[in-house]
Amino acid sequence: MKKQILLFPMLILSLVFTGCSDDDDPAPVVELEVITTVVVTLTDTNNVEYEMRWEDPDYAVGNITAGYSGVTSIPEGFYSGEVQLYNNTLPIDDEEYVITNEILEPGEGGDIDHLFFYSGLGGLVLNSLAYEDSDVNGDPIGQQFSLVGVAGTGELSVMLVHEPEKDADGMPDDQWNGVGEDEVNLQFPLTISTQ
Amino acid sequence: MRIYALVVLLLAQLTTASQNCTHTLSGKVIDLHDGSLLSGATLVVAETETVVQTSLDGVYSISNLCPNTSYSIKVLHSSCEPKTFSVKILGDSVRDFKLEHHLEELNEIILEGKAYENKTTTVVEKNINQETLEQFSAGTLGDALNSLSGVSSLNKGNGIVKPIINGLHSSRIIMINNGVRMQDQEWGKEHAPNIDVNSVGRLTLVKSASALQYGGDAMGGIIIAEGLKTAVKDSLYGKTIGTAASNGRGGGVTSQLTKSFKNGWYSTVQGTLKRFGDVESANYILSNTGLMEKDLSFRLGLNRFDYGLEGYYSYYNTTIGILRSAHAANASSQIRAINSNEPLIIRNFTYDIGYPNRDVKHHLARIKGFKNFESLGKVNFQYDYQKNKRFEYDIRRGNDRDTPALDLELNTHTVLLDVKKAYDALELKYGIMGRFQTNFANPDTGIRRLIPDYDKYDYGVYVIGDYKINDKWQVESGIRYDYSFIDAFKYYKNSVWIERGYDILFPDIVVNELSTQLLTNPKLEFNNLSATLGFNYNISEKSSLFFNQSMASRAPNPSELFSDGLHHAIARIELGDLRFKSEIGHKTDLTYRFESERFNFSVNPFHNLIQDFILIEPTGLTETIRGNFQVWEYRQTEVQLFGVDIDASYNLNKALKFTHQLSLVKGYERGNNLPLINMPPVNTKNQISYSNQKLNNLKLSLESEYVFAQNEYPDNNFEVYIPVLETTETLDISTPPNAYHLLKLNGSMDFKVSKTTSLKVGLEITNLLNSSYRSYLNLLRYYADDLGRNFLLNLKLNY
Repeated sequence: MKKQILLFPMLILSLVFTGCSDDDDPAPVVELEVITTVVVTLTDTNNVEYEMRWEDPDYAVGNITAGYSGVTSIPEGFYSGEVQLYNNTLPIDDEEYVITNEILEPGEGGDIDHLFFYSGLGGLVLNSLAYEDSDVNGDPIGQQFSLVGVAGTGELSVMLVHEPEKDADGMPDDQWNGVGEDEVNLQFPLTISTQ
Repeated sequence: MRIYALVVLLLAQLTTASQNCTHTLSGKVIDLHDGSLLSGATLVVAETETVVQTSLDGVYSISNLCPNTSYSIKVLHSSCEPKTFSVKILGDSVRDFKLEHHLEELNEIILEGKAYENKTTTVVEKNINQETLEQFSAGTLGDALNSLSGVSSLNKGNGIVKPIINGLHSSRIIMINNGVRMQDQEWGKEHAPNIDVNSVGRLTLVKSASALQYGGDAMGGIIIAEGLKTAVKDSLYGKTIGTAASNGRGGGVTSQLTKSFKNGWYSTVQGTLKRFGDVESANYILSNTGLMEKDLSFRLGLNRFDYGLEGYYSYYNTTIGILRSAHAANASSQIRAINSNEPLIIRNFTYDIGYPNRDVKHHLARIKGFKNFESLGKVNFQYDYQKNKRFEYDIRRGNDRDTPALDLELNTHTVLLDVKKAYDALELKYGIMGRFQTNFANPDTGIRRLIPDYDKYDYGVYVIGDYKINDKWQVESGIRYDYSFIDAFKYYKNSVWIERGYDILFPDIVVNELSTQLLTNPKLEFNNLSATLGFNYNISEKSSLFFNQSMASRAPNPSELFSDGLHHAIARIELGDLRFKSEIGHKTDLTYRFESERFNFSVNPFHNLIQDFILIEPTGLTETIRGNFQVWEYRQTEVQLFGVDIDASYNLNKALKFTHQLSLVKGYERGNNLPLINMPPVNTKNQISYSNQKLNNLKLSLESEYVFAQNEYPDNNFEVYIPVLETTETLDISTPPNAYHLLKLNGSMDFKVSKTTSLKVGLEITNLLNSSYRSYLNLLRYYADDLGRNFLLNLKLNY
């Protein structure tokens, strides 16, 4: 009995502490839901496109201001707008590469759970901001929008809210009531000049 | 074993010879705990110096007793506390004596020579017995522990309750479940112990690191959950407890059945089911706070005089909803949530548990055996395996909605070999421990790993000596050495790698370079020494003094070492440090205890000095596409904690009892004297209870709990610029909530259903006045009030 008792733990010890090394390197995480690229396109009445971009290929936090590029100045007037979101960490043919597709998908988790907000900050004045699309419930999404730009300098704020309360009082026309999570919270530097 | 020698005849009285001394007193000697009959018990009649023993079936008979005389009868049993009973003889009488049966219990055959023995002799232990645990049947282990002085809890809502001992929690506490050290990712603030409160027979709290047999890193203390006891006899018994709660509109059922045999075999099966919907605060529903728990445990063993074997398996599974409105996306949404008096999302009551939620499964399998050797002493062996599977579901978008944000699997194997031997006044314990642990973080979550894949090896060796100098003095001393080795595979983003300076410090650990990140292989070693030295001194029969000085060493945990990114659950960026050393704590613990029939009192001041204490604090804000996030960095510094726990009880008369508890703890960083975060505020509990055994064992109690506002806290507030509003606002995550006062009413009665079946009916009302309050130690305090009034109906059937 004595021998058995002492042998037993040794046996277990040897079983436990061998054969558990040399695993393969763990795979890198393919980051989902990551928005690395935001492209806002404003088209004027003459079909001239103005493109504003924000990019963060490393998806590194703390690096947001360096990400803005593209147009920083547009003339006064009416514009129809569109926003596209991408996840550059995925290959181009991945179905989640174009995030906008996912957002526009009808139903829960898609169009009814997303809402964009736009506003002019600083000296930037945007008139007649309007949503130009709607989800399966007839509520706006905001991936398509329109505005009238008035001369001034400031920032174009683009927000995407996940799981908003689209039918709450005052929503979405006044401002966000705070329910939901920001997915995009960007401010594009922009000057609108008199023609 | 042999305590017959301790027989002391306290009273001697001459009886008058003229009386007709022919009467007989007979009866049985019974184990108070399980009603089993004690054979071989000795009864000493002080007045006549008569000595008799109980027969094999526990029956005794004392003859030649005189009428109208009071006798003091001392009852002794090899495994019990001796007890003296006073009996007045009027004629031939029958009287059963009940003793506290301590030794030779079955289920503590490994680390203990007897069930429920002291874990350490120089620190006063606090216990929660089964009767009290049963009141928390539908709650959590943390709720039960909270009833002890010096223990508070860090909560995330009502379902995640993590014990804090004298201001310390998480990795600084050791949890022992049935002799097994829990490995359930205890490092996380929102990871509560994965133990079903109903599987516990007794809970013991040791508020220091002195019980070195369990580990050397218990800076805060050790919580020991022990199994239910089984007696060596042929029997079949069980119990079922059902609880219904108004708040959460749910309840729980737990059942347990034990079969035991005279030949030493025994088995127990136990299971628990709990289901709650959304709970409510005083004024509104707390949406998505439902809970579902499924637990099962099974025990099979053989106990003989000099050897024994036991197998134990337990499964714990809980799914806990996290308050929907507590899901903060970034700093500005935190401000919105904090500034709003009510949660931003209040929905109708539902039993459904949506996102975010936590789904945790814990398997524990253990075999243990012991053998007594003449020369070596008692040798115990134990092997245990634990598998902890943790899913954290978050609010996610599109196709990832149902994918967990965190998917971790932690596997742990441990072997223990312990020896215990008594040499006259010296008791020696020594042993070795080997542990292998492997963590797997599933990359399919699509979110960077918070805890990396790692293998961890631990080896420990300890020796503890306990020396009884004389009846008054006892000293205890021990030392333990632990070696830990962590072999991790960790991805760092290039930007973080450079920003942290690791490219210069650790260029050698890079094993693979990808476009935006690096795979590294940190190999870390820790050598930890821990020790204890203490004494206890019996000042008089009623009062005693305990002193213990212990040193604990704790290796940094994986989150302190490896964190390097966004922690979604709390919307902040956390940065660990690969360079961290072990924490070393020095705790001084002093207890004065006075115990008499009517009045009990204990005062327990302590001081804990910790070098290289790892704390996390905010260091700034960082911008992301999703808004601003706070950045919290871990840092090592020297801290001290001190405080006092006071317990008192006074029996006003046989029926009425008053009890009082007060706990105070203060924690500061040395040097700059800044207060530490999340220190429990001063709190006091006062209870008046009434009991009447004659009236169906009626028990009534009213408890008042007053928790002061924490007035010492670090200022971690931020000024946050909110672009959309074009304003700067203060993110106040520091200011503690106001003081609060809660009343709890509890009543119970016993009913005999049949000869072998009894029913206990209990009713409890917590937060009697339906106060709305927030607790500093609840992580959800920013977003919503704590629980409102709750009616709990508790039915317990013993059979």
